[in-house]
Amino acid sequence: MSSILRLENINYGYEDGGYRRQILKDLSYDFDSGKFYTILGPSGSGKTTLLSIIAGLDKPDSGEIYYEGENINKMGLYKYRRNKIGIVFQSYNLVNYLTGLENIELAMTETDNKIPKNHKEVAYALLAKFGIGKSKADRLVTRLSGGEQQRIAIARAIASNVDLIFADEPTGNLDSATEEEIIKIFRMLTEEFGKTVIVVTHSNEVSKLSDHRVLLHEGVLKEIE
Amino acid sequence: MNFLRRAIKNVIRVPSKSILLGITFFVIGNLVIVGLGLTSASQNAKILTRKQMRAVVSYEVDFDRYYADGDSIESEEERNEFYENYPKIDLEQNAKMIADERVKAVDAFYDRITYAPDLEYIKNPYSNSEGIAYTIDADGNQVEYQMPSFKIQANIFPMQIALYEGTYEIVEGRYYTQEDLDNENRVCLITDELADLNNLRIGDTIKLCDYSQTDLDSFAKAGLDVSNMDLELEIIGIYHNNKELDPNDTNTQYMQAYDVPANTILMPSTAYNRYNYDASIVSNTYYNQIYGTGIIENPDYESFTRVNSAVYLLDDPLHVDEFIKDYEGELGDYQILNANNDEFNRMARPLDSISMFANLILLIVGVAAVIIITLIVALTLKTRTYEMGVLLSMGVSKIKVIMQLFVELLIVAILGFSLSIVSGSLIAGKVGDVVLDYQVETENEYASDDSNVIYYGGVERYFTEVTQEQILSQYNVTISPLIIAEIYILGLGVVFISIVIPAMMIMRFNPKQILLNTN
Repeated sequence: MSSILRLENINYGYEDGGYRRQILKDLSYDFDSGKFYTILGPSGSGKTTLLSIIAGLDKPDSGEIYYEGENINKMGLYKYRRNKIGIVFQSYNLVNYLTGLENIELAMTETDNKIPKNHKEVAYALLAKFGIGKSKADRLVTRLSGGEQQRIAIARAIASNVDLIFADEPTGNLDSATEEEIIKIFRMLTEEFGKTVIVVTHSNEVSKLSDHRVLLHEGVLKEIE
Repeated sequence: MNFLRRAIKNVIRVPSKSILLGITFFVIGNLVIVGLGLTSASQNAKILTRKQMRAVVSYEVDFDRYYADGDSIESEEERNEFYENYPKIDLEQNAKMIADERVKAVDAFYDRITYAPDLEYIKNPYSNSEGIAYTIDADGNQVEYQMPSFKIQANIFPMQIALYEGTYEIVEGRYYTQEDLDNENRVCLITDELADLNNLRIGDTIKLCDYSQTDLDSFAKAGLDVSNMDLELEIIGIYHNNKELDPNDTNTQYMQAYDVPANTILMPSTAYNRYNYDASIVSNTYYNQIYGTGIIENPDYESFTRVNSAVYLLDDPLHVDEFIKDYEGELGDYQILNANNDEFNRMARPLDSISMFANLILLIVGVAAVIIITLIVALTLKTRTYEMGVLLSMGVSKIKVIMQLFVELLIVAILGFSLSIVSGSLIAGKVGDVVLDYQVETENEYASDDSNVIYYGGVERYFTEVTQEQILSQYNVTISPLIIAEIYILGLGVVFISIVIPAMMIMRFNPKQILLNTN
C-alpha cells in the first residue's frame, strides 16, 4: 500500500502565559492510500491543530509534509487545498446563502481537477448517493437538518475529485443515529470511492469502524490496536 | 459556481444587507450628483461665456500699478528717477509671443493721421466740417491750416485682427507679408471706396505726408531738404472696410475725414517707422533752428519702433488663460498680459461661490462615503468571516474572495447610483436655482457699488462686452454623461477601498485562525 501523506518531524507550539507550549514534537507518520484513519486523543492534545497543519490550513514551526511524495509547501497550500484534499468540519461550514447543490458546484468550479462538465447532474447524483434528494438539494442549506448539512459537506469534500478527505469531529453536533449514518458514509468513501479518510474524533463509535486508530499523545502519533 | 454567480446570489438572497447598502449608495449618489452638477454647471457657464468672447490678450504696461508705486515714493529725487525709467513692453518678448502658434492675428500698430494732397478723401456724410483748424506760428500769429484727411494703420505683424475677423476684406491684391515688413517695403492697401474715387489700381503709387503744406513750406523756407518728407507707397492691395460711421452716435457729426473708415490706409510698420524717423530729423532740425540748437535731440531709431501695447487674437477663447499662464512668468516689471479676466471673474463670482460650495460638498461626501460604506461593509463582512474562512480552506484564492465581495458591493452600488442619477438630477436642478439666486442676492448686497457691465476704452475696446446676466444665463444644471461617468468612477473607487480594507483585515489570518475565530 503506497503512502498518500507523509509527515516528517513536524513541530508546532505557541507561547501561553510566558510558557512555550509544544503541541507537536518531531511528529512523523505515513498515511496509506485508501484507508480510513481516526485520530484520537484527549481534549487539548492538539488533534485539531494537527489536522489544520496536514490540511494546509496552518503551517508547522518546522517539519515537512509530502502529498504523494510532493512537498505541499512547494506545491502551494492554496493549490494543495483546492486540488488534493477535501475538508469536513464539525459545524459543516457550508456557504449559507447557497443551496446544497450550489455548495457542491462551488467545489467543482474552484478545483483545477478534471470534473465532468455537467456539474449539476453530477452534483445531484453525488448528493443522492449520500441520501440528499433533489428537493433538499435545491433548498438553502440553512433550511436543512444538521445531518443533512453534514452529508452535503462530505459530498462537497469529494466533489472536487480529490483522494484525501479530512474531517474534524464530523459527528460532534449530531445525534447518535445520524452519527452512524455519517460513519457509514466515511466507510463508503474508502470502500466504494477508494478515498483516504482521516478523521479527528472523540467518538469511539467512529474509531471502531476505522482501519487505523491513531492516538495523539504528548505531541506524537501512535497507532493503537 | 464562480465568484460572479456567488456574488449575484448573495445580493439576491441576503436582501436586508443589499437594501441597506443600496440606500446608502443612493443617498451618497444624490449628494455627489448635486455637488458635481453644481460644479459642472458653474464651469460650463463660464466656458460657454468665454466661448462667446473674443479670444484676445493684450500685452501692455500696468500703468495703474506703475503710478501707484511711483506716487508712494516719498523722496522727490527718487520719484523723479523712478518716472524717468518709463516702463514699456519688451519687443523681443512681443516677438516671442507673436510666434506662438495660438496667435492668429496681432494689432500692434501705429495709428497716425496723415496728408495725401494728391488724393481725394471720402467725406464724413454726417458732418459739415471742411477739416480746417487753427494754430499759432513762431511769430505768435494765428494760422489756418488743413487737418489731415487720412489715417495710417502700420502694423508690426502681417495679419491684423480686423482683417482676420473680416472687418477688413481684401477685394483685390494682397495684404503685406513678413518679407515686406523685414525689407521695410513701402507698400500699402487702400479701401475700395478710395480706389474708386481716385481711380487707383494695384501697382499705382500714392504719396502721403505726415506734415501739412504749411509745415513743408516752413521747412523749405528754412533751407531744409524736404524731398524725404513724402511717403510714396505702392498699392499692393485694395480692401473693403466693413466698419461704418454710426449715424446714431452723437460723436459722428464731429468726426474728421480721417475718422471715416474708408480713409484708412494699411501699411507695414517698418516702412512707416523709417519714413517717420527720416522726416523727424528734418522737422527737428527746423525747430532747432527756430528755438536754438540742441533744444530737440534727434532720437535714436529704436525709439521709433516702440509700441505701447500689442493685442493678440488667439485661435480659441478657451486658450486665453493657458496663453497667459505660459508667458506671464517671462514678463518684465509692470508688463502684464490682460484678458480682462479681473472683470470676467468679478462677474462670475456667484458661480465661483457655488462651485466652491459644491466642491466642499463633494469633498465631505467623498470622505464620508468612504468612511460610512467601509464601516457598513466591515460590519456586514464580520458576518461573512466564516464564509471567507471556508472559501480559503477550499483553496479559493484571496483575490477571488475579494472579487466576489467587490462584485456584490458593485452591483448594489450600481443600482443605488443609477437610481440616484434620476432623483439627483432633479434635486441638483432645484438646489442650483436656489443657491444661484441666494449667491446673486448676497453678491449684490455686499458689492452694490460694483458695476455689472465691463466698460471699455483703449486696449479694452478689443474685449467682448459681457454682463453678469449673460454669464448667469448660461448657468444650467444638467447631468451630463461625463458626470454620470464620474459618479460611477467615484463609486468604483469607494467600493474598492471599502471592500479591500476590511477584507484584508480579515484575510491577513490563515484559514484555521479565521475559522477558529468564527466557530
